[in-house]
Amino acid sequence: MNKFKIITNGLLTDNPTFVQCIGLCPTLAVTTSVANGLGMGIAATFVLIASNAVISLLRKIVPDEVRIPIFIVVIAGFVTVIEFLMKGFAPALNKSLGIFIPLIVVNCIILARAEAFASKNGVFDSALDGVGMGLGFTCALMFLGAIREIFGAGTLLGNPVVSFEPALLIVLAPGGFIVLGVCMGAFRAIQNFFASHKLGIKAAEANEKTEKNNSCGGCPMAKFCQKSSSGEDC
Amino acid sequence: MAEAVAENLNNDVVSFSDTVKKALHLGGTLFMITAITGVILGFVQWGTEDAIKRTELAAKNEALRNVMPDAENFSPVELVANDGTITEIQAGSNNSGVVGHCISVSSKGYGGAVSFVVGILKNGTVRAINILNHSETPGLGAKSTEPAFYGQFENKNNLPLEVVKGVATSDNQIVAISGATITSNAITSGVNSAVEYWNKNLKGAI
Amino acid sequence: MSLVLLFISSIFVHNILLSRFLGCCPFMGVSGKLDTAGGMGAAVVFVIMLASLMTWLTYNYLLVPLHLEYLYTLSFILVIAALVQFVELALKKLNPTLYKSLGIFLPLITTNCAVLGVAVLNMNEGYGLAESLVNALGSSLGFLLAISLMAGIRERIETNEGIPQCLKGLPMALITAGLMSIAFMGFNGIIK
Repeated sequence: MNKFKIITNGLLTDNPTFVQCIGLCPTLAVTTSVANGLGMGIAATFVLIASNAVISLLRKIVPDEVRIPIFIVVIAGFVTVIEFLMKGFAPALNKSLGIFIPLIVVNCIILARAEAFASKNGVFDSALDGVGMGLGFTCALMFLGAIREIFGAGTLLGNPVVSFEPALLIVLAPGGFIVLGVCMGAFRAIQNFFASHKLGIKAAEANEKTEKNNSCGGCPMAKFCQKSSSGEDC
Repeated sequence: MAEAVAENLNNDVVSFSDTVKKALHLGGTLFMITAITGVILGFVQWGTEDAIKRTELAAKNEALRNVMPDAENFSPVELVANDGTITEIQAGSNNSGVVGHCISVSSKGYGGAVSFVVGILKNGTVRAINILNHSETPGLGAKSTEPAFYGQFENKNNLPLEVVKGVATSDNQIVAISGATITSNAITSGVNSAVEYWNKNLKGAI
Repeated sequence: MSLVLLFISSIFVHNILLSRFLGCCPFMGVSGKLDTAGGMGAAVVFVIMLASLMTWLTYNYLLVPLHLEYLYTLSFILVIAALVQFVELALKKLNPTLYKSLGIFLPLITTNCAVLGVAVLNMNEGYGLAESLVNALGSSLGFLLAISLMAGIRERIETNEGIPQCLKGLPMALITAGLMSIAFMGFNGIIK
């Protein structure tokens, strides 16, 4: 696969937050400011690149039946490493991200990429995929962080930027859900617009298509979700 | 994966020794990788331990200097048993002797414990406070780490302090962070406990 | 803090989904129908209780004596994965009816951050065994409550034709969750 395309894939076409809709918990919790979003993004990117590379190296020797526990062990190892590094060199960030650092282990983006990409591709490509997905995640977090910081606290990167009274609610828990919901809707509307122009199909059809692609399609657990939702026995 | 293992264990067609071999192979691989990860983490921990300790020490020293700017040296003072609010005491001194005490307090806030240091001069004035750790809500209780809130505690000698909403009308009043009365109360009552402790156990010691 | 207060605040005030943001993936993925949401919630209650007990024992009787506290992430996730696996096998053998209703949710739970999240919270807050279990019960009941309410609302949203195309599905569910979260903020007054 084209190396450049692997990176843009994560940034745009398969953006983990807006298109694949995975890794929602950290997305909602840490985007109270741009700085937090950036910090979380960098930590997750590091874990993504490293675990993708190692899992790709191990892919030949890992028995299929226990691959998920092994992936989780590798990911947990790198999460612990980043936790040490943050404690030692970025204590303020470590404090503000708090419990969401150890929870990178169960961030489905990382497991999803291990399962969907790293266990099938070479080391270099897997690391590149980690870079692309990590960048896509980081950009989405910073974008949401910027919106919530500007409208909720009236600042950007800690500097006051607006003249109106900020709506505190946007920084609080409900704001996280609402801002993400609205942004995701907007992202879909744009996607639909381009899809309907490019393919010459009606907007409603385009939406059906994006909705099918979206909605946790990238999550490694999606098949269980769908099975359990449809009441099927698996 | 769960089903696969379960099926292998339940399947009567597969002979017993094959099942055992398979289970050993799966378990062995998982165990090996876990063990290697554990060992590597041991090395990383050993390598970063010093840096982590240094960072924590630097943060603590900075907090002590912030609440007791006149002191040059700090030495630990023995803690008298209390209800758990007071966690540590350091005496700050310079050339002319002890200038005051830095009392570490842990108080129950909204999201969990709020820990901070209170500097009390030898005449009983609260010099300043410095928030160390908290898990309060961003945008609400987390505003306690901004000077607009913690600056209110500087040079207070009209004690005990009380929390008011809106505007302070007297010198012993602290204006609550709007929307975060619990955090404001937690910090203020923590400062009051520190002062009480100082009056009881440290006042005569200097 | 008394256990009753901890219990109530972990259900309503610090609701695991709407205020702590743990376990959002199943909250969005499995909240389409009321009965499946209830099943998922019940499975989560069961696993969180067991996992909190096991991780508490692991931390206090294995990691602390060996001075290996820093391995908590690794050991917690392994304990949880092994536990879920074990519960699945045991349930299949011992109670096939229960397995039929809860079993399908179990593979989803290993990577549910609510389970690891509650274990890490218990450790960070320094809770004893009783406090850990009460917190686990409260948090998981909060999960059950929130996901059931959400499913009830989403069943009705499904039939609403007035929602703009691009907001259908996940975006609308997120906005609904935001409104529920506002409602849950009303419980803030419970703790002094």
